[in-house]
Amino acid sequence: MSTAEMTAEMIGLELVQSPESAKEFKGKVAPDWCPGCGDFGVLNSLQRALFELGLKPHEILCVSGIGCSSNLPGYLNAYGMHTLHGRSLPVATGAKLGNHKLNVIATGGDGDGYGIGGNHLMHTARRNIDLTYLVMNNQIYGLTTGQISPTSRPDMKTKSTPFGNLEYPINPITSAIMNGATYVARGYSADPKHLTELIKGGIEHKGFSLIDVFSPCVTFNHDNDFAFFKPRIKKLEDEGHDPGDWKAACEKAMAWGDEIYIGLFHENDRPSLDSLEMVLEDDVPISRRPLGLSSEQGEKLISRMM
Amino acid sequence: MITRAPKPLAMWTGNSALAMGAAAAGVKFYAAYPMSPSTGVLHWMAQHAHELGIMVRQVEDEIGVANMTIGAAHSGCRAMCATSGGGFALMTEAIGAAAMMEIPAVFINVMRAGPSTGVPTKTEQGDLWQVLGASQGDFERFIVAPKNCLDAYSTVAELFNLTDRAQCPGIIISDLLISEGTFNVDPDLIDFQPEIDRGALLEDPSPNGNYLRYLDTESGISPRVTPGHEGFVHVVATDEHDEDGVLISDEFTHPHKRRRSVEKRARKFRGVAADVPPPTLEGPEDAEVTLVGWGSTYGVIREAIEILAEQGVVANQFAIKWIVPFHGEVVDEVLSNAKKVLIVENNHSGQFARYMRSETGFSAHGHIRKYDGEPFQPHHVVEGVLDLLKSEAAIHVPYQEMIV
Repeated sequence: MSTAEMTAEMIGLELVQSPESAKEFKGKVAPDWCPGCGDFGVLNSLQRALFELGLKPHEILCVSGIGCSSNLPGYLNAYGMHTLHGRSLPVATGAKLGNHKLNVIATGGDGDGYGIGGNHLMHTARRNIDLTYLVMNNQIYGLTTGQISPTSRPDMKTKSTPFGNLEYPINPITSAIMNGATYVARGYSADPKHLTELIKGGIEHKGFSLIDVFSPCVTFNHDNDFAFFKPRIKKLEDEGHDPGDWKAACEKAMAWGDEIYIGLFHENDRPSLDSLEMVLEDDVPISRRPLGLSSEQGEKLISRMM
Repeated sequence: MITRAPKPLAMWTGNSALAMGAAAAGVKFYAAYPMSPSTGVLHWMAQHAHELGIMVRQVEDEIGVANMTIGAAHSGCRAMCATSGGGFALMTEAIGAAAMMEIPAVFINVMRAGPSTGVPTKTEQGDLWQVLGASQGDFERFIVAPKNCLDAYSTVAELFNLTDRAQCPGIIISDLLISEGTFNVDPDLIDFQPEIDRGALLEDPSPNGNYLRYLDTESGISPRVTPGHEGFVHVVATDEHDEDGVLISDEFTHPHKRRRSVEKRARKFRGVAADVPPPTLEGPEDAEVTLVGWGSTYGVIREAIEILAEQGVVANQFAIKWIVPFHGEVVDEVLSNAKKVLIVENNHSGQFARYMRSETGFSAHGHIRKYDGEPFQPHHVVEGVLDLLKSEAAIHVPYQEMIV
């Protein structure tokens, strides 16, 4: 039994991978995540979403930072970049602007994206560049064996907070909406069918999409595990939520009690950076255009210096 | 009598020369966070972005700048960014990432007087060791300090060819003197079509089903394919990796594979770096004094040598442009044959003198150093030479006249 299958059995999730999607998007190596890790459900949903959208591996660039979940590009058959801790978004932005024909997906964890890379998230959101950002949020630092993360709840006891966490967590959903992201959703890794649809929506959306995913760390976070989420998770679509209503979206995103919402919180059609950028009006990606200056361009430059 | 009108000259600054040099080298992506005295590069690029088809982005911080530049470079663009010392400090982790992922990109540090916020509008050559130490780990990158404005222009294309061939980062060290100085230039000396060599970048590859991004070749150079090409899917990683890009850093770290990767990267660099021209001695060979400078001191030393000649002192200049690769053997040979070697540099502790000694074992006979924020003027160097010729002092610090 593979770790993925073992995980599916442990948490009772239904893997959405089909033999066809697995064949197309399974990476060179199998994930080394712990058995039971929520990230299996995310990888599975991403592969399924890419397959259902009819994308080919060479049309995709998956960019990650550092952390357990940032190992994902190695497990996906697509172009990938495993970059520095917290830096997936600027690298992904540069790659997308260099070749705007690519479907660029950034992946990582809550420490990577909301902690060390938090500044980039705010600015990537306002820039509204056409990227899909998938954050596997387990509310803990797992790779470093269990310290608080920017999304850890107050009072949580970890190795770095043995007497309880005194700090208030970031809310990625309201933050992303406030900063101008145009597709903001939350998924749950134990519901890969639902997550697959959210990822498909994010990839198809023209602009910056944040998909925050509750992806429990079964090894280091015993507060917010599958047993915690299972009775609380409610779907926005079952509540008749209107994703055009950003105020209602923020209210729903703040809920953290008996009910915790997943689904598409907010979407709007503000034009993406790449669609506004004059340099990209020529359809050929800048990375595929001829290099250098013509004699006429050179002469023009000289004439302005005389 | 007919007098011929002098040939009209063009005017530019070092920052516009760096930007224009980048455009001529085929740079299609430029990112920056404003920081004096490097901001002029951003302004030139932004002004010419549409006309020349260059993507220009002002980013939230220099960490973002450097990483965005690397992302664009990985997509296949020639990509560049510029900053000053403080911003360069923030870029350093990314420079190592480019080295590890084998992505060519150019980073410019326009030095101002430091440390910290320092003297933002004054010049210094105080970042040599910062640049040499930029990023953790033991890795290869080119470091070059252009000698003047025109040299800055042509160095950009030269460096891009080297970084493309060796698939590694390159760093240009400029300073406020070059970058914000306004200079005349004979327009005929500006070559708008410099040679462009992208090395082993496969622009239209046909798949053979067995592509290895980090193939261990004899030269150490692995054929490079950028994302988007069918049949070449691969992952690049900042973790140590095998020929296929798969990490070898976790669980079991294979010592033989790690050694092979380190040696491969070193080998490719060595091969390409061998083509970098060594410095040459300029002026009479049997001079009484040999003045050694690096980067922007070239012009002022040349003028000082002319003044010294009028005063009966024969001096020559050994100007260093390439910091890495450093031609240690050539430098040692030339300087060992010199009568009196004086190093001229715009900092307090003699950063270049120490670097040169570490690479050659050669200790200079004397030093002319200035660290008051102002650049050297020819008479400062002249006074230094005359002082160190007659006195036994090791260091001369010129007096800077107050200009109010």
